[in-house]
Amino acid sequence: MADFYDGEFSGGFTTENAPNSQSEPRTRTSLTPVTIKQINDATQPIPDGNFKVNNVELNMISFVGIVRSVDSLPSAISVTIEDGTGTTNVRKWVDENSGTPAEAEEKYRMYLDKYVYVTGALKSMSNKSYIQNASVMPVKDHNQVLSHVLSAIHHHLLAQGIKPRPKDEKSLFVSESASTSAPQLSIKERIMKVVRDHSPSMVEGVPPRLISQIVGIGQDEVTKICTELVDRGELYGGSDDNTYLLD
Amino acid sequence: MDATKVRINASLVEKYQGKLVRLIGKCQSFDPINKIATLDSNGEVRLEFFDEVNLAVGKIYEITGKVSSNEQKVHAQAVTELSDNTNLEIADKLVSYSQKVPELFIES
Repeated sequence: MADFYDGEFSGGFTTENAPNSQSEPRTRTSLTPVTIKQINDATQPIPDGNFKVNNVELNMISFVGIVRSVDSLPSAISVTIEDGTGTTNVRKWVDENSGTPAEAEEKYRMYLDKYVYVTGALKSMSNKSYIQNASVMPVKDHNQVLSHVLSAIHHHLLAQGIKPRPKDEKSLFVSESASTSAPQLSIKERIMKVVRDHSPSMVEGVPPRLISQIVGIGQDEVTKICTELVDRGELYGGSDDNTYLLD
Repeated sequence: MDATKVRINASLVEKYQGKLVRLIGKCQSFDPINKIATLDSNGEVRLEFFDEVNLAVGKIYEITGKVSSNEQKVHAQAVTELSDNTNLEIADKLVSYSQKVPELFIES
């Protein structure tokens, strides 16, 4: 972990001057991209408090995985999802006003052996974790799967105090060859690319902090440029005024 | 499907002999009679299927399976077709990065 990138890639992470992550626990109210292993490994240090795994606090989470089984329960559908790191069950309560249990089961059976994107709140009951208010959506563009898992790595490393190299403005999400062979993009184009690349996995919006880290400019400048782009209709706001999205 | 499946590509097949793996690549050839295929996953990977499967050459798939313990091939257990625009270069980088943060991917 000390030299994450091993000189293999431009960009990447370094522990140089890393802050003491133990003294700065991270609290997230936005969606945290995770792997299923992180969900299964998470512990709840304080009863009814947030879950925590490897110094990352988990509240609202998102993950991607393949639906492996769908089972009908008396008033719910149990969807079993695996992502290669582990398996978890998502329970979808059947709303009889919007369809029969059979229709709900059929809907999720259509997702069998396909990737889905799941969001929800990680909660516990009787010492067992579950995902509350889960949303299960099919993945149509599988770059979302790659982007999601890379985002999970990114969040995990930030929580360990490992930050992207500031001297190199490339990110995990930009291919090395593409970045060297492609024409030089302007700051605005690079910001829009970051927002476009992350929007599928950050449905509540891409925060300026992440854009700032990837593009390599100050957060205030990112906010100023994004505000201009929103005003011109080239970006749109996320779930709050400080996050951005782009199809 | 509970066991961890490490994300690999062709360059890591030998390292994971006998292990469960997950790899993304483009189908180069498919022989439905002999149930074998080759996948370009940053290099060629030979696949062997036990069940009936239908692959299309040129399509991108994610394969989960077990690397043979004595041959350079993967016994495929499940196949998921991915969208045609899936960026295989990014998929390779994901393999590299996932190797470096096993705490997110691999049961200790």
